[in-house]
This record gives sequence, structure tokens and C-alpha cells, in this order.
Amino acid sequence: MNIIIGVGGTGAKVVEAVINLAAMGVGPNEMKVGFVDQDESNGNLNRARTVFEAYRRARNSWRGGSAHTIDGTDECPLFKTAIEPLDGDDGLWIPDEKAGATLAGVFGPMNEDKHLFDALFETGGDEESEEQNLDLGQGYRGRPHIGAAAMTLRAEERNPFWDAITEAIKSAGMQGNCRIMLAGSVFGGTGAAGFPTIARIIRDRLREEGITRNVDIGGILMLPYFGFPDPDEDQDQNVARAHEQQVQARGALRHYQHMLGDKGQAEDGEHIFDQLYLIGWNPFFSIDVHSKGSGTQRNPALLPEFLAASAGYRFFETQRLPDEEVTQNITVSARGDYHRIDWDDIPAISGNDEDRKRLHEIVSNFLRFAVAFKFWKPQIDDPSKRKEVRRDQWYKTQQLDRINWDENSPSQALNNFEDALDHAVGWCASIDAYSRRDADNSFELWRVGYPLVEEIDYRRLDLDPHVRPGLNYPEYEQLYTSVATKFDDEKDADMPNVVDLSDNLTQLEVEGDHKNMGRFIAALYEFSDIRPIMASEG
Amino acid sequence: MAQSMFKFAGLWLAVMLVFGAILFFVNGSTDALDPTLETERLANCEGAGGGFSGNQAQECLTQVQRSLESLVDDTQGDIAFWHALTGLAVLVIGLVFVFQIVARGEKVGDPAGFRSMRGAWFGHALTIVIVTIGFAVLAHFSSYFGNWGQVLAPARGWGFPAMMVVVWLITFWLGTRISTPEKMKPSIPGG
Repeated sequence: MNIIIGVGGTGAKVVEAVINLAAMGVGPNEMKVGFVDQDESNGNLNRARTVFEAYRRARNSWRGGSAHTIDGTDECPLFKTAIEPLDGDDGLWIPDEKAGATLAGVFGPMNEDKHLFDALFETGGDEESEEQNLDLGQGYRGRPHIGAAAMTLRAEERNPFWDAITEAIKSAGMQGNCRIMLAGSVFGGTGAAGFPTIARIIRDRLREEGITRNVDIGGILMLPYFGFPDPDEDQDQNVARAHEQQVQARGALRHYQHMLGDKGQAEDGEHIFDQLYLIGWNPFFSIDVHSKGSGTQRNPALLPEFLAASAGYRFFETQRLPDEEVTQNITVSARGDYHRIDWDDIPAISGNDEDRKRLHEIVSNFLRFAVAFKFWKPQIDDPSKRKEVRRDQWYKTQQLDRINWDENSPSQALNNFEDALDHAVGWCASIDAYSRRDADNSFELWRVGYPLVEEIDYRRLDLDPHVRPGLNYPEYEQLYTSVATKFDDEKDADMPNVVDLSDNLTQLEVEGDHKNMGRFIAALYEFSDIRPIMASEG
Repeated sequence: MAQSMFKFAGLWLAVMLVFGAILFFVNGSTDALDPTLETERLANCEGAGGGFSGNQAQECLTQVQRSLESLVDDTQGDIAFWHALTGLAVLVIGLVFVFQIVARGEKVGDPAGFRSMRGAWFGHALTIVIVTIGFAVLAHFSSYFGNWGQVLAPARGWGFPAMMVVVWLITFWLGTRISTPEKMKPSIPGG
């Protein structure tokens, strides 16, 4: 069983990234998703949950045995990962759900322990330094020690979220493997508080249950990677600040160093993580607007989250070492050129370094497919256009003429598909836009911008990138070859263009037991490969 | 490209030979000629009636018959020449279209592009009609294609060109249909 838990807003963004990669076809076959956030209205969390719901709807439409299905996982891996909420409900654990909750309220009457409580947590001062009676409804506001205390206490109480984790651990103890990946930030409040706390609680539960094998705990720890302006004078001052992130991160890393051991080896410290990925960025990505939390804390997707998602996939996919050989493996990668990022800088998504091209292939294939989808969907979904093309050979070759649009219309399934696809494309567009924003930076992974996506308004973080509903032919023709990059190897053939795609649609059938519209989707995907197609003629 | 052009040329050649043979053999007797020609010529023999003895009259009739047969021979050659030139024009028009549509197919990747040669197809078809009729008119009102237009029975003189207009149109349609890449067939009516 594979489990990923996003802790806090940044953790939720990493989960969002993992789900978007899963939509592209990067991911294990099964995964459960959980979120931990004290601030239920956090914009990052809400967007991640929206993406999660869109993914599940799309997957149910196309992989759930309905009339229009995509078959298999190799040739067409879109939405191959069965992602379910960890607790069978919405996957969210809010440590303290009561309105107006405070740390003092969580602990309740403390009697003689009150002096210790007062010594550890500020109270009675100004609003900016208040900790004991800080309203937790908007998260821990960059105070991880508050969150750590509150979460530890609440995790001991029974709730569906922790029951599900305990159940997964127990079942792995009997048979199979369980891989639990935690994602959170080293800065901020909820993530910084929850990341080590939850990992430690899980490790403790393993010890309590006497489980010493078959369970791996991984961590994606996001170091500071973006900056934002301080709040204006008329805004709430009791919030996390960008310049505090590095100081906070330095302190947190010292804590991790102490906790895990100087060399990252189990014998030097606590064995908590089997694999730990530290991901940051320098210089920071610049965000124009400050947010104190809650619904307005809806930060744009940024490149390090892509790296985090690929690290997550690597954790789930890397062949597990025998228990006696498991160590705390801390992984670091760096860019070859400070001002440039290309596919050579992205770590391989499996332990095999020869497999470095795979992520490049899958992401590029998906983006080209997305461009093709935006052009071809209106051709078949619009009844008047469909009437026009229904005698075309490509329409017949892809067996679209066999679809009964009155009784088994794929329109809703296509809309569900497009919804999830738009999230993934918009996510790529945001990464693209913020990576290119600094003129000194060269971003060579993909090029997702206008006309596929409307121009991004850097002042409106509440607006996610808007993916256009359709492309006209000149836009499609241009984007299809520019949205992705081919391998650097000079021996590579040119990427197939829209003419090659239309030739393939006309002449070739894809293999696999795809049904109805699933056959066309699979064909569009396979024929959007960045290499020439070598399929057999149908 | 070459394969498509060969397909069109192959069909064209077959039609050319079959209908060339039909035109040739169907017009191989004096029955094909305008009956007034024979009547006028026989009238000449009769007009000289009193001046011809029995043998001379017979000889006059024989000469009329020979002249008509000679006329048939000329007409066969003339109509074959007309057929060849008309056919060549159709071949050129067809090959130009096939070249254009194959070349276009290598550049387009959208359904609108697949049917973008439809207008050109009708343009080329219209050209074939105009050329065939034009050549028939020339055959009737000039000596460029000999005299077959004037000497054939009127039903044949206009009937064969009308038939060939249809034949060449069908040839063009069928030829472009078999030589057009599948993807571009929406450009061909009924394709």
C-alpha cells in the first residue's frame, strides 16, 4: 500500500503535484492520499482537494469499467493510479476542528503543569507574540512548536485518519508492503509542526505494534523556495514572514540533524525516515502578494513541487531494500547551471539512472496529448462538427462511428477528463510562468503558456491558471511541437507534428482493450509521443 | 506521390483505351454518318440520271459508297484524335489535382484541412467539362479535329461528346478517389 500525506499548505501542494503527475501517468498503481491541516479553508489545501476530486471523477469515468474505458498502464498510463482518500471519506485530518480552538483549549485544565505550559508558550503579551490563545482556525501561523504540541495530543485520540494509518501498518506487518510518504515544509506552521511529529508518531506506532519490516517511511521536506512581501501595516502582523523562513529553516534543519543523526545513519540518531528528500530553491521564486493563511493562502505551483512529486514517485517505485539493509537515505540533487533548468537536472524517477529519460518522455507526451485533446475534443463532442466528420477515415479507423451518442454519450466522461487535464496543464503553466519570470532564468522543461493557457495574473493568487477550452488549428499546429522538448541527443528524430498525428489517426489502431471513446483517447495519447510512432498498421 | 499519380494514370489509360475502341468501332460504318450526306450524293447520281447508262449509274453509286467509306475512315481517325487530345487534357488536369491533393495532405492535420481541396476538385471537374465540350464545339465548327463533327449523324455528333463528358467526369472522380490518401478523401465528393 502506498500512502502520501500532505502536511500543511505546502504539503498539500506537493500532494497536488503528485496527483497531477498521476494524471499524466507517473505514479504507482495504487495510492491513498491524506491531508493534515489545522486550517481547513487554506487555499492550497482546497486547491489540492479540488484537483484530487477532479482526478477521481476522471478516473472513475475512464478506468472504472464504464462504457468508455482506457485499458492498460504502459501504452496509455493516463490516470492509471487508483487514488483514494486515506480514511475513505475526504482524507483530511484537522487536529482540532472546534471553532475558535486555541492551544490552551486543546490542553484543557493543566493544574500544576500550567507553569510548564507558560514557560513553553507565550501568553499575555501583544497580539503578535500570543501563542497560548492564538486562534488555530487559520493554522499555526509559522509557529511549529504550537502545532507539534497540538497534533501530538490529538493524534492519540481515535479518529478515522489515524485508524486508517494504523490499519495500513498492521496489514503490512502481516503481508505486503506499506510505504508512507509525508510531505511538508520546513518553514511555516502546520507543515513544519506536523512533518516530523507525524513521522515520529507513525514510527512509534510501528514499535508499539512490534512491526519491524515491510513498512517504509519517506519524507519530502520542502526548504524555503519562494518569497513574498511582508504584510502591509494595516494587515494582521501575526503571520509568517518570508525573511523568517530561512532562520526558521536553519533551526529546523538543526533539529532534523539532531533527530536523524549527523550522517543520516540510523545508529547516529533516530531511525524515522527510510528516504528523505530535501528540496529547496535558490534564488527564491518571487510571489507578489502576501497571504496570512486561510482561503487566500493559495500559492501558485512552483518548480520545486514538480521535483517533490517526482521524488514521491521515486520513493514508491524504487525497489525496496531488505529490511536489514534499510538506512536513512537522504537524497540531494542540484542544477548543472545556476540560471538554467533542463531535463538533465531532474533526477531519474527510478533508482536506475539509465531511466532518466522516462519522466521527460511521460510529461512531454502528456503535454502534447493535452494540446491535441484541446483541438480534437470539440471536433467530436460538438454535434454539428461531428456530423461533418463522421465519414472521415480517421473517425472510422478510431471506431468513433461505433459509438452510440444517444445511449452511451461520452460527453460527461470527456468533460471529467478535461477537468483533470486542465488542472495538470494549469499546474505546468504556473510552474512555467514563475520559472521564466526572471529574465536571467532559462526554463527548458516545457513551454505551457498562451494560447493554451491565458496569461497569468501575478497579482491574483486566487485565480488559478485558466486553460482555454479549445484551440484553433494554427494554435494547435504551433503548440503541438513547441509545448514539449525533444531529447538533446542529436540522433533523435524530429518530433512528430500534427500532420503525422492525423496520418496515424487515419491509418493506425492502437493495441489494448480500450472501449469506445477510450480507444480514441488512447490513440491521441500514443500518437503524441515525442518519438516517431512504430505501431503496427491496423 | 508517384504511386498516387500512377493510380490515376492507370485508370485514365484504361478508360482511354476502352472508350477509344468504342468510339473507333462504333463509328466504323457508313451508318454512323449523317444520312443526308448519302442522300445528297446519291441525288447527284440521280440528278445526272438521264446522262448515265445502267453501268455508269451503278459506278456512280459505287463511287458514292466508296467516298462514304473513305469519309468513315477519316472520321474514325479524326474522332480518335479528338478523343486522344480530350483525354490528354483530362489526364493533365487529373494529375495536377492529384499532385495538389497529395502535397496538401502532407501539410494538413485537421478535419477542415482534410476537406480543403473540395473546391479545387469541383474546379478541376468543371475544367474537364469545359474542355470536353469546348473540344466538341471545335470539332463541330472548325476543322481542327477534322470533319467528324459535321459528318457524323447529329445524334452521334453531339451524343458522343456528351457521353465523354460523363465518362471523363466519372474517370476524374474515380481516379482522384483511388489516388487520394485516405486522410484527404473528404475533399472528394462521396469520398
